Amino acid sequence: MSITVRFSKVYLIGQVAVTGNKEKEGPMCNFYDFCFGDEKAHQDTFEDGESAMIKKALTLLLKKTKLKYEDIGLVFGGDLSNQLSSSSQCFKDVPLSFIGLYSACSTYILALGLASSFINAKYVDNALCYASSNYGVCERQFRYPLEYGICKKNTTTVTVSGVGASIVSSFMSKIEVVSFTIGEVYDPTYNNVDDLGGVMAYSAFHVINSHLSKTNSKIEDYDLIVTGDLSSKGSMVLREMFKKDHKNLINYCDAGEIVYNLEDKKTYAGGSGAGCIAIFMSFICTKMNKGEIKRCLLVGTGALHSQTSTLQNKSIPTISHAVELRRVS
Amino acid sequence: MNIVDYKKIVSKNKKCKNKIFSSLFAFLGGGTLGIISQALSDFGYYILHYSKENSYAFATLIVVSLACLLTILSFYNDMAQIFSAGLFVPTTGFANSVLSPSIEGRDEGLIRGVGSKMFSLSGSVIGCGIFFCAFVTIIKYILFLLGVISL
Repeated sequence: MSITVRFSKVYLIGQVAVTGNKEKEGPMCNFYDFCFGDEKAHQDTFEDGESAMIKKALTLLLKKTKLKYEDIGLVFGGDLSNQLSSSSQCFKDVPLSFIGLYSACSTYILALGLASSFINAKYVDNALCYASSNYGVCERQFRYPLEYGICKKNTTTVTVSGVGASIVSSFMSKIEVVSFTIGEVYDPTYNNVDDLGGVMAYSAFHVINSHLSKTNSKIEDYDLIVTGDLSSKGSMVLREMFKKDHKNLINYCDAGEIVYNLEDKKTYAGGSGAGCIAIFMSFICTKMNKGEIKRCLLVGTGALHSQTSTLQNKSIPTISHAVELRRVS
Repeated sequence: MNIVDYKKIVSKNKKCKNKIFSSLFAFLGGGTLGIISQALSDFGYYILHYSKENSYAFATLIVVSLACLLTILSFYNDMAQIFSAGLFVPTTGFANSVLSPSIEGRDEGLIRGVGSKMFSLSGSVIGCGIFFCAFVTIIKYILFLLGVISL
């Protein structure tokens, strides 16, 4: 049974998105704060590039919110590399307490929820939460070498190169973090690594239903329900699952489905990765600040597999977390 | 929502590539590659007056070098999405599987990245080759002991 935590007086005071070049060509490009010309962010390796992107996001966020390092009590976040090596390389030079999170592509929502919990408990006044992913780092850790000529499936997703970071605070702003549903690990007994969207749709369905029942709300109450990286295939599965459950999933979109141009055949079913929903947050924050979105449910979806578990023919467990945001009236 | 219903929805939404088109493109790609190789081999045999064996090696050398060049220039991956098994099954696929992990490790240094990663994908092909060589040798030796064949 997943639990839902309610917060009071927890606000989101700033958000930045730093991306690579491919995301810059996508439909959401106007909402990103900074785009590098390549995935390596002008560094020698992809790992260094990811660290540089996190550093850049941190610098921009502090500038945007006019905060200093001393004002931030804690950092929550992570990336997809082993032992969070890219994050560790970045934060070794940053004088902040760091809680590294590894929850696959749901890392950002978990970071946002945990940061809000610490603010709610008044342990700290400001907390930074971020998530990062990099195409080069992920491809070689989970898939094949970049130039390997294997025929990709239509359901394959492309890892987003980008960092999304936000500051959660006890100081008032226009966006309030209302509640946080911590999901369970599900096993849909489906082990297709080329179709992670389809796998993650299962846990997304359960966490959305759980959040709705715990908060006594309906799908219609939300102006927007966003899932992390189900891609075009996974979001279709999720829609049908709700249909089968006699509910109509309206006002719904998937961050992975719209991060790239759908006409671009090289992106297959869309984007994925921890950075996917994290950079999409820039769009949500802009719209919420303008008052165009008043109530929003963010669902981070993660597929918890490794290269070893894939070779051992194990099924792919999946987890989702949900955070609800509200525009302060 | 139980897992059975979920799986029904997943299989309903399966977006597979058109198998007939994929097979046709693979056939065309592989076939063209075969024609080019044969032309190169004939060129070596008739024009350059190589021996039959050397003309085959000459054709392989050119085709493998071409695959390596295309891999380095990032064209091979794009072509593989179109011709799939047409490029994957011939020796071009092997060349690509050796080269792609090794150029991936070029950032990590000359030996540490390149040397160890080079056979990460093609190791299974080499492993199979060695295994079947040993297997055939044993059979041949048994046949020799039985006096069926002479070495």
